[in-house]
Amino acid sequence: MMAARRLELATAAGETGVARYQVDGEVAGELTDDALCRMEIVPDALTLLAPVRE
Amino acid sequence: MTKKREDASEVEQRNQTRRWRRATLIYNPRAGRKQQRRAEQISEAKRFLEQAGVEIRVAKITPDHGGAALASEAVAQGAELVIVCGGDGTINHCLGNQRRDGLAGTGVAGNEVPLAILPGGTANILARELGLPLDIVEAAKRIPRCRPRRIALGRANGRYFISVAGAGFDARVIAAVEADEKKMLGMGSYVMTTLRELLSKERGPRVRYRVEATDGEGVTGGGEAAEGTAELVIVERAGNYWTLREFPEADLFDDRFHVYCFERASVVHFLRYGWTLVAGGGAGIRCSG
Repeated sequence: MMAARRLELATAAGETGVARYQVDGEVAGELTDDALCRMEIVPDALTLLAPVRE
Repeated sequence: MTKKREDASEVEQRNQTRRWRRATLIYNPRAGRKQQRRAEQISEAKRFLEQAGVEIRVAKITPDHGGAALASEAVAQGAELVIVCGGDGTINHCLGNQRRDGLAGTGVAGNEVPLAILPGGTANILARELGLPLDIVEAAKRIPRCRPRRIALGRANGRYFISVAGAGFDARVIAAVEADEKKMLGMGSYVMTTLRELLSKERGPRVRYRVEATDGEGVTGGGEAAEGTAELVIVERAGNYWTLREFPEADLFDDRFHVYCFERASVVHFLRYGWTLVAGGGAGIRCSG
């Protein structure tokens, strides 16, 4: 486990085929060795109605 | 306290003193199981919220009119609350995408208008994370007692996510789940597909990852960054993914995500992972070999 704010993903060198990535349970795109997926945290991006924690 | 945190706190306080008067309830009639009961459940939830003094406009997602467009319209038409009934995918669509100029985009992300959810999907990861009842009407009854919280979102190549993202094996499973099986078996369809993929001779390509640590915190094992290859990379903002609270470090109200890298995705490795979960509550799960 690594706490993070940024992450880069791609298909590993020497691998054939296409790996996919998903967001919230839906396939969102494909990775190849030169098609990166960059993930980051966007602070204060949403107001969410949440039950009050006891 | 940073300027951004002050702004977030002001938004929360302003919203907490507000009593919702106008809300739009967006629902996906094709999400989850029990779809034949969806219209009836929506009517019942609407009736309860109207009795609680909230004027409700109902908007149904159609192939031509998706969640992002409906959420954007709701905000533009002055909704004080956007309620989304559907699964995690439906909720994701209603977040919308940020515009390239960095301003608030379509959907509810980047706006002050709060998002409330009613669990109408298959996995309902976000609803479980929030501790909401998994019944649509019961969850609607909780809305008046909920409070707005400003949270961070993840973003993957420009697309927001709220609970989880991943690459490699889990995306392969999601792509392979058959719609009919999902409708019939619910979460069981993911279990069946996972087993099929684990037993398949076909292996997906390995994924190369590079993680940059949260400011001031090193990655597990030391250093400011870590890189390697894995068959499965999971990015968690919610503590549960397979409904078991497998990722206890992850917290939706934390401004970071947690990255779990599994070098191998095989039956043996998943059994080992399961044992770790049972024995240690998941705390020992990390880049695994």
